[in-house]
Amino acid sequence: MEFIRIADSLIRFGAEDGDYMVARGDDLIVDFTDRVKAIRFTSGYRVYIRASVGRRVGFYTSSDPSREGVEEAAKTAVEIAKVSPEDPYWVGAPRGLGLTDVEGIYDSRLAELTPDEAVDMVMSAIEGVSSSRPGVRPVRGSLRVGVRKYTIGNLNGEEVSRRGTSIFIYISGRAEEPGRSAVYTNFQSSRSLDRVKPYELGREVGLKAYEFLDAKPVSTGSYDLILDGRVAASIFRVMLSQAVSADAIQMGRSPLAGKIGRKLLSEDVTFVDDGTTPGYVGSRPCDDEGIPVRRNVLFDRGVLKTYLYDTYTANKENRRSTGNAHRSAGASTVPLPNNLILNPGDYTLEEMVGDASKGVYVLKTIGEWLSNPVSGFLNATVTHGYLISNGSIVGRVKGAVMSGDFYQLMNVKVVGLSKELHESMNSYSPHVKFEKVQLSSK
Amino acid sequence: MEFDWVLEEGARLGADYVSLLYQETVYESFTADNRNVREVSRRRERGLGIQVLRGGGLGFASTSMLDRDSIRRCLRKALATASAVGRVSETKLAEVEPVEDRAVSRFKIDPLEIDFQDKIDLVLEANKAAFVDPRVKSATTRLAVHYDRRIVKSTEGADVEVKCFTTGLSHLAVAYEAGVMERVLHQRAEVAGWEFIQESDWGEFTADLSRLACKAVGCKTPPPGSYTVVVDPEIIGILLHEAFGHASEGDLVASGASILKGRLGEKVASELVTVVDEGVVEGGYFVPYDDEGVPKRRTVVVDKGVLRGFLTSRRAAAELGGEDTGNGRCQDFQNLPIVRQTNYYMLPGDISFEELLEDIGFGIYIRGVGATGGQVDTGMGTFTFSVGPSYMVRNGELAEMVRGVVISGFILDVLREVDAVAEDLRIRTSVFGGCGKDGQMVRVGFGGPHIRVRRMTVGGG
Repeated sequence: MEFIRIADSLIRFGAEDGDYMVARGDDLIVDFTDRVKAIRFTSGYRVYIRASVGRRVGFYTSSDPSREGVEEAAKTAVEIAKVSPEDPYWVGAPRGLGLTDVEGIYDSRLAELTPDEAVDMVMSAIEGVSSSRPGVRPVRGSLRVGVRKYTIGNLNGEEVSRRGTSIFIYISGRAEEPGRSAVYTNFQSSRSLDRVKPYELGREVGLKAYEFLDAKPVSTGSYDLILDGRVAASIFRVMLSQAVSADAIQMGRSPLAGKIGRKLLSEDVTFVDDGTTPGYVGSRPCDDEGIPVRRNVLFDRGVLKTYLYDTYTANKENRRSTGNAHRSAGASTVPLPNNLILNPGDYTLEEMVGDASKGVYVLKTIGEWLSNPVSGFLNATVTHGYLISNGSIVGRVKGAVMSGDFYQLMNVKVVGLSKELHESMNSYSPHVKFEKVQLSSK
Repeated sequence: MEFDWVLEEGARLGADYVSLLYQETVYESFTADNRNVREVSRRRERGLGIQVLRGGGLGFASTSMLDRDSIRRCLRKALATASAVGRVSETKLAEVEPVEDRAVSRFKIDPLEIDFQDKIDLVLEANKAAFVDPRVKSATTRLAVHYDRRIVKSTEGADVEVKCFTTGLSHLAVAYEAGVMERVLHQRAEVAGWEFIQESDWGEFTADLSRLACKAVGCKTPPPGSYTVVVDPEIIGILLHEAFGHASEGDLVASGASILKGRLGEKVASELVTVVDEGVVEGGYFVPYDDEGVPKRRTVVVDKGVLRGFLTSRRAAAELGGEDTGNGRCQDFQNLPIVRQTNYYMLPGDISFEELLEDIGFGIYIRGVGATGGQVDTGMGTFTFSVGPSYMVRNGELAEMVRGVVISGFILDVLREVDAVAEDLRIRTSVFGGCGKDGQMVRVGFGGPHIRVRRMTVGGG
């Protein structure tokens, strides 16, 4: 393709500095219910350009990688830069591009997966649900296989490339009996083919849907809460991804501003950002500015150690990027975690349940993304949970709201972490147990 | 762009049906952050999605490369995927009358013709105007302009083009006081040209949001529990859209992922509740035709509390056995149309806002300005929404402001508990976001009048 000429075009139109990223994406997607509905094969480019003239910066994004498309993109980016006001914080485009060695992020079997093979995987997932219990069937699902290639460069003549594969499958199963019904959804995601087990996923979804036919609202009160690792991971992503971003810190939109070195969370809590972990969803050799990724300790035994930086926010504080640039649709970058990981503890789930006298093991929630990472106010609705009484599971619950101050929960209410990690997108967490948390219900 | 050859070639290669969606879109965004211009960006995308039926299987492929060879490769991929699907299942499309038409949304001034400089000046001034109080810690203002052009053509003879301009401005105010931070994010947008931006006082808009954030930061959250709730048009719009609208989407009904399956003709809400989905309506998004080229008119979903219909696309209508309501929409050329809402709203009643409050001894008036959104489980009927700064209601009158208000519950319970509907009606759309489903985002409109719900679960903390 012609995109290697972007730097030349930018210079010719008058850019003094700048950088670019060209993303090529190919996706094979199978949509299904209790049968295959359709297959989609999408293929496209996105060209991101950031150009500067003095301290004036312009951004342009286009889907057109042709010679004419790139010329127009470069020209427009420079035109925008010329009419933009000076940005007093703009120092220059990223320098020092490079790659960290990261394993398990590209699987050629995924890149070459055929529509027929994808259909076979989906049929296996459907069979898993349908064979789990009588009266249970799959009602919704999707399999998505993605192949990505990125080329990232700057006007200094540096250029790097990275590539990756991913597979994601989710299924909703519905159980029905006269007068009652229940739906359960779960997913698997991986960077390689062999870690996805569609039949097992389908079967688990079917069994859980059946099990929750008798779920009841829980009464309002104080409970020991065990958050399933996936629920916890999702909550941590919502509450911390923005809060640890230097952009939010510098703009006064994070409750963590000015708190480096302070102990804010429980001693049991160590959060890291690590883009180098083999096979993780957010792992990659370099960030969206071409800066090598690394491991960043965010909270060490409860003490806030660092924020995450891209080149722009790092330049503001005269420091170096932490390799966390993510490029938005508008071509500017924002620092965010690559993989947000809560280090595991040493409990088993059975031990956590066994120690609770009155509790709820929260299996699924909705709405955690509506929490407020600026104020630190957490809110989520439990859709599927197990009621615990005197160390045993005694029933299934639904429809309760958990809410409160996230930092207080993570500081004084955490009483246990399980041994193994579970994922929600690029966030990883063990099961987490909190004591005496308020649940409200009708 | 001339694409008739693709239809002909698809048919020649064995497709029983071919349809194309050509799309071009331009999105401009101007962001000012804490008195500085943060980002000026433009995004231009165009491409072609090809849908084919062969041997009963539905296949799809898309490309952003529009040379003949790339399109031909794309067509062959669509045919290959159709064959793979045809091996295991059969897809049917409802019969529709092919339409030929061109539709353009109402606008006076093409917003893409306005200089970048004018847009930069406007967003910067609006941002500076937000610093009305020393407690305002952070202010982000964003101006956006969106142009979307879609052409749908099919081997059945459909040939529809829809062009739409949307403009708007959003503002995030963050206030800080005594160790507490509160944010208020809100936006105003219309399907309109630059005249909508010109005719509004955006400095006043951002200053108002700052004042709201400053007032909210010192407020308490309400004790969790069950309340009588007055819901404003913005929240009833989003509540209906998320918690009821999705459940009325025909594909979810057909697959069993909706609580409304099998309930046509049943009473699902209070008799004061009538809900419709309409393609073109004042304040809403512009959907005269869906992305399958089918006209989108008014669909009555709930009539005086009784479930009367579902929203359908060609596939969903074939499965459910009803008529196609023109709700087959896709995010862009890279996606297949699925059943989506257009402008989904509740029809107004005949009492005033004051009358709604009148006989409430103790309750809450929940408001949409500053709301962060909601989520539902359409299969279980559960929802949770985070609303903006709201007011307690005591003895029929608005009392103190509260913040951090979250509502949740089972949607059918809530709609049955509606005991008053006001005469005011407001419908809104957005140029910044939309509705997500199956990984696809589409622009929608939503709204309704003020309503009163006898009992609703409110969480705070």
